[in-house]
Amino acid sequence: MRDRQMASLMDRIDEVDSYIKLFSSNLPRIRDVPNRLASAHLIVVEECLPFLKRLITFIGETVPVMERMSEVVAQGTSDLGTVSSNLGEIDQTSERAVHEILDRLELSRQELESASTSPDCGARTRARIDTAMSHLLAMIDALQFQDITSQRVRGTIHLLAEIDRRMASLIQEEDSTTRPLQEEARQQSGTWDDKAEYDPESAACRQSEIDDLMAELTEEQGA
Amino acid sequence: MNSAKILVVDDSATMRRIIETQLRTLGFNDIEEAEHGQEGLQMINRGGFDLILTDWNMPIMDGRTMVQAIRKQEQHKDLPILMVTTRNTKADVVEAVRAGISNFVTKPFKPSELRQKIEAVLKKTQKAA
Repeated sequence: MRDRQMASLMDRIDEVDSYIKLFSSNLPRIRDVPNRLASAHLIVVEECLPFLKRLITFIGETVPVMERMSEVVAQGTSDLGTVSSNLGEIDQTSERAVHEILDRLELSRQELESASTSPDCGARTRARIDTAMSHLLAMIDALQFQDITSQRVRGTIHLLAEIDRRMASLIQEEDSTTRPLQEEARQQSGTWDDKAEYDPESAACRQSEIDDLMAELTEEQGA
Repeated sequence: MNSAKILVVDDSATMRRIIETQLRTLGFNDIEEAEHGQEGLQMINRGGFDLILTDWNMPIMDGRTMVQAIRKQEQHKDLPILMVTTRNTKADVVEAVRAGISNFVTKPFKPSELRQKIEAVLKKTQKAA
């Protein structure tokens, strides 16, 4: 019994001895800790603190600028809505006006037609009526500008909505898709040609090229 | 007077009126209108049209998709279809032809241009019949 206790005691002494050796081997490092702490303190005091000071100054100067930017963006998106709504109203007013003109032109056309077919209309008067009628039809044709400019207006409204979306993401609005301008643009998407232009002469040239291409394609299909 | 029954498909009320006026001047009086491809397709499927004039860019269903849908139906494979649109690039024309149009008119068009195209496609159909 006593032998076993002695053996256990010896094991403990060996264990303590190994700890002492480990401690001794690390003693230089442990002695160095105060020096390290002193240099760390130096780094914090001489480098980190001035940096933090500069950072805080920078943030202090930047935050008002950011707040101002945010206000400007918010105001800008609100202005975009107004611009978009004004453009939409211009488009609708233009359409209403064109339809009123079309109504009057149509009535004039009917009047001329009726006068032209009247038995008491002489050949000379009929010729003048025909000339007036061709002018009137040219006026009706010119009103195609409304559809063409309307497509451009719709394209512009879509573009404004895209700018609105980007600005909203700048000021980190939670869900910019619920904004009225976004909604409007989504509904209109794909219904316009933003390259549409009212240029009858250029259209005539283009039509001639299209006719050549159509002839080519039809021939290919036939073959 | 021409007895052909014509359908004008365009989302612009102005364009529908202008085309309709031109058609009446050309002697066509049986004219119906649709505001987009889907409405046009439903009307065409009810039958009776001799000529379709359609825009390309429209809401709900565009003109190209409508033409493709028409051509999928055997009974409408020879129905004359004029695409009347502001689109006018070579790629647009090729795409429209592939969809199945009979001819292509670019906006703004001249009445003489429209008349010529209408007469040509109707004549072609009559020959085919």
